[in-house]
Amino acid sequence: MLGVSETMKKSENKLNLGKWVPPLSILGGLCIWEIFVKISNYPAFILPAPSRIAQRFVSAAKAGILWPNVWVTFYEVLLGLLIGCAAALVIGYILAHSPVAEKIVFPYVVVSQAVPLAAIAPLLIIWFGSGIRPKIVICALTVFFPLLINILVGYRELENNLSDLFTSMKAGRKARLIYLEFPGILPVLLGGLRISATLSVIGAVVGELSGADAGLGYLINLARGQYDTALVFVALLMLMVIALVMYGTVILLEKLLLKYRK
Amino acid sequence: MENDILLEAKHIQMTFFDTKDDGLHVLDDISLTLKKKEFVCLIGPSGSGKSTLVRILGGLLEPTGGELVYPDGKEPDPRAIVFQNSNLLPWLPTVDNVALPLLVHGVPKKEARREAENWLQLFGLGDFANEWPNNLSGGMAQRVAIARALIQKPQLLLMDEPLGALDAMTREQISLELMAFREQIDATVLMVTHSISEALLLSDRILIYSGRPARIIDEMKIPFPRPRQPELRDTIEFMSMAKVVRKKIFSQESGQ
Repeated sequence: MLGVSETMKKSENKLNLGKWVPPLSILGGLCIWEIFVKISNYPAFILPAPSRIAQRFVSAAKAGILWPNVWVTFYEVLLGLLIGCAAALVIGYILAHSPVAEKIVFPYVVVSQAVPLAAIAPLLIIWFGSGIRPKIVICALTVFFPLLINILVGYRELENNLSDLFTSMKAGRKARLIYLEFPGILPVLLGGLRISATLSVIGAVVGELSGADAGLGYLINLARGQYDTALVFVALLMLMVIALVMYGTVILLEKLLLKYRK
Repeated sequence: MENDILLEAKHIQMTFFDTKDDGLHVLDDISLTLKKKEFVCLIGPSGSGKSTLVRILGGLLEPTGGELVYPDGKEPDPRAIVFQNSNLLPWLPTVDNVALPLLVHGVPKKEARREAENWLQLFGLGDFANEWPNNLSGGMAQRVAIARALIQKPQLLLMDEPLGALDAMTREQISLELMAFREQIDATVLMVTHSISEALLLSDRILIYSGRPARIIDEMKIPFPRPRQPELRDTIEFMSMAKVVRKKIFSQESGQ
């Protein structure tokens, strides 16, 4: 039989192990990749080894073609996310408070979900040019619809009892928004944002791939044209980093704003 | 001068039309009068539309028939409602939940909090001001809900089985606290309850309510002088009165 302290130790060990598994798994994967490339002798323009990608990362950074492009994509993603989020909040508020408006707008929301963004990216480029504006619009659109739906779901899940409470206190619209509605939908909103934050990176790249003069999508196109596959991987890596930063920020926001839900 | 009457409900009817074609008759002809500063308990079987009546008296629901008359010419304001479950906002710390009615009307945060803290002290919850509502026990949460109602200094306080979801011991304790508060507030109180001893301990008048058709079948004045003491419950007068009430409720039920 195990004593109390022993069982505790055991579970502690388990926890520590659990912490180390994900990074070890990544490291192992990279090793397998490296060995596979060495053995198989594939040329670097088909599959570069991780070590080669690392070298390319350093040289690209030195040549000054990496960070400016990273920054452009990051800027598009961030601005698109903010605009899409703000628009979803405002329109969500209106729709949640007006059943008629919801009936009018909702078919568009449903239909828009079925439109692949990659397909409208060229349209947006025709309308807004090849600068950064169409990418921001695509990002904003990628974020907008899922967030809008989440906001409407959040409103529906607000308890009627709580609404009654505010009615009995004769609370005004502003007080309702501040104390009831916004905090009430915040968990669902942040849940939606968690998914949208990474989606918006996809939106930005899709926009850049269909025509751009800067950004990581542009860099991927450029590198592909020169069979610089290692650089394509470097750009992919940077996209992952941007997505992770966005995701991490949302998680951090959740931790800060939803302290009450333990 | 009939000015000691706060509210008169005349032949209130309530039918909900959202489910069946012929509608769901919840209230069929309810009349009652509430005098100023009176504590009235409404006692009767569950599922008989008492919550609906509370919502109508609280102005949350428009009755489909009958009317509410205010002899003063204006609605009681503020009207506070304590619901069956505490209905605390989980995202506000306890103190802000109590302060909510003040915050909602633009009272500065500092001032509202100070007042809320006073109320929490009175309910013995001073140490829990900064706790999240999720960390409170059921009894504490309901105390907070009552404090939130009282902070409004309501003219009319409606309580819909406020202690219904609590265990017997907590329930008894809070009803004693309410009895003590009773003397400090100016509100007219209408409380829905299933507990005869709670009703006898707290109220000036008991309305006995019957289900289906929902109506008020009897009314009793509770003669015990105020302020009352917990020991009242052990007196012969209290027990025999409880017996009378019980008889009235159950004779009604078996008679149906």
